[in-house]
Order: sequence, then structure tokens, then C-alpha cells
Amino acid sequence: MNVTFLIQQLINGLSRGAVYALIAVGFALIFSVLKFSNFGHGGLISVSAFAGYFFAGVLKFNPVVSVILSAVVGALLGVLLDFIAFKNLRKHKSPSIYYFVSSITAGILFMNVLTIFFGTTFYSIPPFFSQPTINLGNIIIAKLDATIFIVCSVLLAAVMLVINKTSLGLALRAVSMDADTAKLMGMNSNAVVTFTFLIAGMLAGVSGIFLGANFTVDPFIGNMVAKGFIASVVGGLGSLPGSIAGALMLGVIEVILTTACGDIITPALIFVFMLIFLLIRPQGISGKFIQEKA
Amino acid sequence: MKKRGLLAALLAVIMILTAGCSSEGKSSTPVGSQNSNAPSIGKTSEGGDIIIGTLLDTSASMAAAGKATVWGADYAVKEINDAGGINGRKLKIIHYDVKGDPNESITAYNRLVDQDKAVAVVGPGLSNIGIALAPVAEDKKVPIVSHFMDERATTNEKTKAAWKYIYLAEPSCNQQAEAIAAYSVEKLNVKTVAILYDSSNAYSTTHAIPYQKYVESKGVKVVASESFTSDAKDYKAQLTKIISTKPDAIFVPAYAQQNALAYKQARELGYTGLIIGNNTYSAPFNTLVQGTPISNLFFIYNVDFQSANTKFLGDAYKSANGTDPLPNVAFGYDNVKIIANALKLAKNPNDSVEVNSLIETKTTAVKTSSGPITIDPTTHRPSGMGVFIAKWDESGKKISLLDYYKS
Repeated sequence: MNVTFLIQQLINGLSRGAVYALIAVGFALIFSVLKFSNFGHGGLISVSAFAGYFFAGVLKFNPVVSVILSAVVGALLGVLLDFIAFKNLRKHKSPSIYYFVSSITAGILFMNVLTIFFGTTFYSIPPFFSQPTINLGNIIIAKLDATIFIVCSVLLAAVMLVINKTSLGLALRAVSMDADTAKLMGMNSNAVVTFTFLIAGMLAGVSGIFLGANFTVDPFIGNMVAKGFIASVVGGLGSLPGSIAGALMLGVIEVILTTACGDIITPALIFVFMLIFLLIRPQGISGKFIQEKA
Repeated sequence: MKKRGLLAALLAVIMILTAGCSSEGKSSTPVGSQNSNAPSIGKTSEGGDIIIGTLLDTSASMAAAGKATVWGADYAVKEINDAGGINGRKLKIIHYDVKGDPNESITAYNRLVDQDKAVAVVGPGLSNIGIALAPVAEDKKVPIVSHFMDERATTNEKTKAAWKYIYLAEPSCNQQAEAIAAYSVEKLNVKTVAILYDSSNAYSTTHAIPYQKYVESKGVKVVASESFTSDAKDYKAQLTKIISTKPDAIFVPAYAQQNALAYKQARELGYTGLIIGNNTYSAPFNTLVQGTPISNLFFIYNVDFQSANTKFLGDAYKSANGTDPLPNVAFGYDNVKIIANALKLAKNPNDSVEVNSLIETKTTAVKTSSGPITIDPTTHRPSGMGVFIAKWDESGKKISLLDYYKS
């Protein structure tokens, strides 16, 4: 193993982590505001991947337009997801675990509806770049992976800006602390929550088309949300920057373990790593202790 | 009002699901030959129809292949019925979608046997399912003829004898892997090779192992052997490790999507050497790797639709569907022809035990779209049947057949 090999594997790990980060940001947003793990996010990713295929592969729009339109589709789906799966639970002040179960059900529903209409055939999104890689000597960086990393960073910065610097973000934070008190203060907490799902859906829309472009489109591509969950847990549930850090760490560790131990045992080792990490630092990389998690 | 809105949303979801349920390929629902891509079957006559069934993946990851097999099987049934049937009796075929799931397959097989009274079954292409069905067929005594290529589907690993009620009508994984291994050594002059395979898939491992054994027996050095699991999509860690060993060739025997991802990622990482594969590199592989030039890729291809034996079938498929046929069209056709040969010879074609015995002993040079097929009674696999070695042209639109290798 020489230095070039190690650097290339590090880049492979960061590339993989960038993909996970894209998923984790949307996942972490819902957790930070609504305090539950939204596995329906995977369903949004799957539908958005198909939307991305439609815009880029069927209508032949350019990549930028396709990404924007997929984000719009994802945003609308996020609102739909809230309406179908969570609005009624909020109205009846249901326990957090109900949200968790409802999210899993909604995710499975979305993916299976896709299967009904499209089967499980794979579809290919036309490549975003005519020359797919940047070659730095013997080191190869895939342009799509680099783009995913940049887009993820930009989206994170934008979301953090909205949450911390705008009145809407202030309302989000207020609702996340105490929805009832926020209502008493004159905020429409339902609208704020719906807006949160709109943002998370937009993030899923962007994730979907990029994942589809990277790995081909199929109804179950959204199952990668599990990686987003692990990244969010390691990064600190509720922390958006932490979720990115967790995702990158997860990607690098996966590559290290795959290289050293093989791919068969790596999934099990990842969970062992997660358990040990949480034993040492239960709040994750940059999270805080949060009560009533689901 | 809000309750009405929620109710409306739920009703909309139910309507969507119902609309999807009305399409063909639904699990556990016999579809018959309602596929608009398939030729129509002769009308069933009252009493006297001989019933066979199919267990095929028409909605799972291998849906394209499964639907092609259904089409080929239906075509064979129509051809047989148009020629007078089986000794004057119509052949009726019932299709079940097994979604690539072994449990679904067993349930459907039991339904075919117990309720539909099928005397023989065309089995699915997935080896995992074949292995699951083999002991069940032994119990129910209704033969299955298929193209699942893992030899464990036709050979009982414990007794080393053939499973009594299951047959393979194309070369096995071992035979195909050895064929392309021979080509790698003799024609591609490979001296070092790496292997990347799906460790969670019997089909992939039963290509990787015999390939490795064969090339090593010929003095080729296997410089790396890496694996991935079926839900993985990023193989760059494994490929970087492989590429660092500078192999002449990388052998990747997996399913179409996995092969496409491995091929794209290997080329992205700068590997320009040979990539050698199994028989899932035909369409849709070329569309899945769009944007990545296809070169230095050699793979197994089972059926030559331009040959004298097969052209009629390929032309009929293209005329009906407007697209080039997958090899699975020929698999479906051939499986039915082998069953029909036994049915014609049977004194009582409703006796599945007799039909099974005839498949085992009388499938000798049976005329199929793949040429004459002979089943070896000791292995329940074809003897003397080869495979083509193929490559895509530079445009990625056409496959060229380079050679024909028998195991």
C-alpha cells in the first residue's frame, strides 16, 4: 500500500460520505425541529430520483434545471408526506413513537407505489459531466462526487442561514422548543412544521436526483436513508453540521473497513463502531442530549 | 372538513394502489397470456387441456428478463397448439409472478400443483430460487425446467445426486464460467486477473469460484478477490484495491445493475484493462452505463438470434414488440419445448411422475431455438451445450458474437 493508494481510498471515503451527507442533512433537519427520525425521507428520495430521471433522461433538461425541478418535486412531496403521515398525529398530540412508525410506513408506501408503476427496472440518468473525473496525477476525483459535496455544503449553509438568521427560522426554533407556547405567541405552528417538511422535501429532491445520477434509479434507492440515520446519530441527532461530519466519518470508516476486512463483515463492524462511539460520546459529534427522541 | 380531507387522501392512495393492481404481473394472480406483448394462446377447449405453469420474475429486479421468458414460453405454447397441440390436446399455460422471492416462488409452485393441477413448470431464472424449489419439487413430484444456472439447484449437495424433479436447460454457472475462463486464457492471453463478485448472491459466487479454479489451473495468477453485498452501490474501495494490483483483467459476474456500476466506477478510477463478465451484460447494461464508453469488455452471451435455429423467434419478438429480444425469450421457448417433448411421449400426460421420467430420459436432441438440447440423466443439465463470447460495439448499440465455447 503506497501513499497514492491511501489518498485515493481517503477520497473514496469522502466521496461516499458526501453522498451520505446529502441524505443526512434532510434527515437531521426534521429531527432538529420535530424531534423524530423521519424514515419517510427515504420514500421522498426514491420518488425524487424518478422525477430526476424524468426531467434529465426523458425531457432531456440540462442538469441544473433537472436538479431545481427535482427539488421542487421533493418539496411538494414533503408537504404531502406531512399531510398524509404526521398532521393528524400533531393534532392529537400523539407520542413521538407514532411519528416514527408512521414515517417508516410512509416511506415503504412511496417506494411500493413506485414499484407498482415502474417495476424494479433500473433507469439511468444521463451523465452530468462529459468528462466524469478530475485527474490529479494518479489521484482520481469523480466530478459528480465533488459536486455532491459542494451542493451539500451550500445547502447546509443555506438551511443554517434560514434557521439562525431569519424570522421564519426563529419560528422554527420556537416550534421545536415548544409548539404550544409558540402558538400562544401567535405563531401558526402547523404552517411552520409544514414549511419544515417543505425544506426537508427539497433536500430529498436534490438527494434523489444526485443519488440516481450516481447509482442508477430504482424504487428502493431511498433505502440509503439508513446511512443518513447512522450519520445523523454519529453526528449528533439534531445537529445539522454534526450530521455532515458524521456522514463523512461514516464514509471514510466504511472504506477503511472494506479495504482492511472486506465488504462482508463491514456492515456489522459499522454497527459495532456506532455502538462504541455512542458509549464514549452518546450525544454524537456535536449534538446535545435531547429528551423524548424517537 | 379536515377529516374529509384525510379521507379523501386515503381514498386517493387506495385508488392509486388499485390502478397498479389492475396491471399484469400481480403476485399470486394467474395472468395467463394477457400480456399484450405475447402472442395469443389458442382457446382452451372444454376438458382435456394439459396445464403447465411458469414461475417467473415479472415485477422484481429481473423483471425485464422474466417478461421476456414469459413471452418466449407463450410463443412456444401457441406454436404447439397451432400445430395440433399435444396429441390433439391443447396446452394451457398459467403464469405466476414470483418477484425474485424464494418464498413467493414456493407458494406459487404449490398453487400451480395443488390448485391449478399443472403437470410441469417452467421455473424462474434466479439461482437462489431454484435452490429453494428443488426439495419442494421432490416432495410434490411436478418437474421444473428452467435456466437457473447454479448447479446446486440441480444437484443435491448432500447426496451429490441430481434433484429428481428439476432440470436446467442451458449451461450451468460452472460451465459458463469455465467457458469464459477458457476464452480469457486462450484468446485474451490474460496472465493476471482480479475478481469482484456479489458475496450474497449464489449466482455470482458460482461464477467466481469456477472461474478462479479454471484460470489458476492454467497458470493465471489471481491477484485480488474482492466482494460486495447486494445492497451496496459504491465499489470504489474494492476497485481501488484491485486496480492497485494491476491485473490484466477484472472478472465481474453479477446482475446487470451491479455490473454497470462496477464497470463505470472501474473506468472512472482509470482502469483501462479488460473487464470480463457473465451473461447479464446484454441490454440494459449499455443504457445503464451511458456516458461511459464500452470497450475492452467481453462477456457471455447465450443466444444468437441471427442463427438458423433462432432467427424465427427473434424476428417474431421484434415484430411484436419493436425491440430486440433478450436471450430469455429463447429460454422460455426452450423450456416449454422440452416439457412438450415429454408430454407428447407420455401415455398419460396428466401424470407428472411419468412426464418427469420422460424429461429425464427422453430429452435427447430435442429441437429448440438454441439448437438440439440433450439433458444428461445423471446431472439433469444439458450436455454438449456451449455459450457465445460477445462484446458491445463502440456505439454501445449492437452486440457482436466473437466465439462459441463448449464446456
